[in-house]
Amino acid sequence: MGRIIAGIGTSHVPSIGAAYDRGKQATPAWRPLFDAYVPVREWLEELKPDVAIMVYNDHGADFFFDKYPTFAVGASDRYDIADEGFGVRPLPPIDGHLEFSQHLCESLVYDEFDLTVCQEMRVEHGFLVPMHLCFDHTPGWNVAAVPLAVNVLQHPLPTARRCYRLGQAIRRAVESYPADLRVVVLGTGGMSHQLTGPHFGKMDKDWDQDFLDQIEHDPDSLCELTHQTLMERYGAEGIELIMWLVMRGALSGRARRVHRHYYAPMTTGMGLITLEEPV
Amino acid sequence: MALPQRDRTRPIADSHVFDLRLSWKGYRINKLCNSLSEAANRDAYRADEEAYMTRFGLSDDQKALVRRRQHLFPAQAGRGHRQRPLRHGRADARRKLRGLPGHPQRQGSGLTWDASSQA
Repeated sequence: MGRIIAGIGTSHVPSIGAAYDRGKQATPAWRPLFDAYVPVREWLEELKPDVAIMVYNDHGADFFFDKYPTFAVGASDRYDIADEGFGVRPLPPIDGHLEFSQHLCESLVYDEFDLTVCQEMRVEHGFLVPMHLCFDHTPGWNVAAVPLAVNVLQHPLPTARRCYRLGQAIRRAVESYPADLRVVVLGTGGMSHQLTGPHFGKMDKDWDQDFLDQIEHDPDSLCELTHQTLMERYGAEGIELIMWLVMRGALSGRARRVHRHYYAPMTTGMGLITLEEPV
Repeated sequence: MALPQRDRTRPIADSHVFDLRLSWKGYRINKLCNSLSEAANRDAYRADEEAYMTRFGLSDDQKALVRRRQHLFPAQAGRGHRQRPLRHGRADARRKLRGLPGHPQRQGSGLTWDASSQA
């Protein structure tokens, strides 16, 4: 049967992707960020997940506001890299896990999550930055993936509680999968950032650290927050942290934290936390 | 009635939240920016920017914003409140436009748009 073995919360800031493509991992500005993921990749190499469920948001690369789904799940055997306006990044296409994806979609819909099911999906920085931070791709990716896109752009957004419950439903889906499958769930985005208006670049390191505490120890306290409170703490764009709650909802109360990192040198708080389930 | 998620009397960071009202107002300019994800569209835009904007139905004010390379597409004053377009004219449209010739790289404070200065 399927099993959730670990969860990861991580930022997906697009400039991380640009720095990666230009080989800037060892520059003074970027080294603290990239170094934090070295032990995460080693840890994942040992855990050997079969599938990564990537909870992210599309920033207009594949979805547009003509039709913008609240929750959309990939059900394909392959996901191409989207062109975000500069051409396609030099990354191999993503291997899907078709059979598990189809099971996941069925289980979630029957669990009363009314998803948009996508048999074609192109993935962009919200998905790709966490992928190349956490997984190797030389020559191919060392894990299959299922994209799960959440609307965190165009209000009304799903509530924090709804995101957490989606994670719980993902856990039920994984545990009802009939074949052995080791699954890691990644919740991406954030942390604090404000990209419009006179306070462009505003971050809040204290609230970010508090979020890292609560997502580990007391996610229920985060589920109770309204979008208003979340945006007042983390900025209008920082509200995408609700995607970490999908990850947390998929993990049990017995999961223990393995890694934690925070770096905020630019305009977005860049956070990382990993949780591992007991064997 | 569901628990309200927003309090419109308390603006976030003295700015605007990208909701359906703003998305509708900024829809055409967002659609233009979004189209630039396709290389063929970028070529068409480069070849004739004015025609491209007309094709996407931009208003004169919206065209002026694009001509000025005002990548955050600041709100236009109107009836006592500002139309703040695309938040995702924010990062994404901006990044798409930035990749095109004639579009200056706007960094640092260049990305900062002060709503009060535009009203």
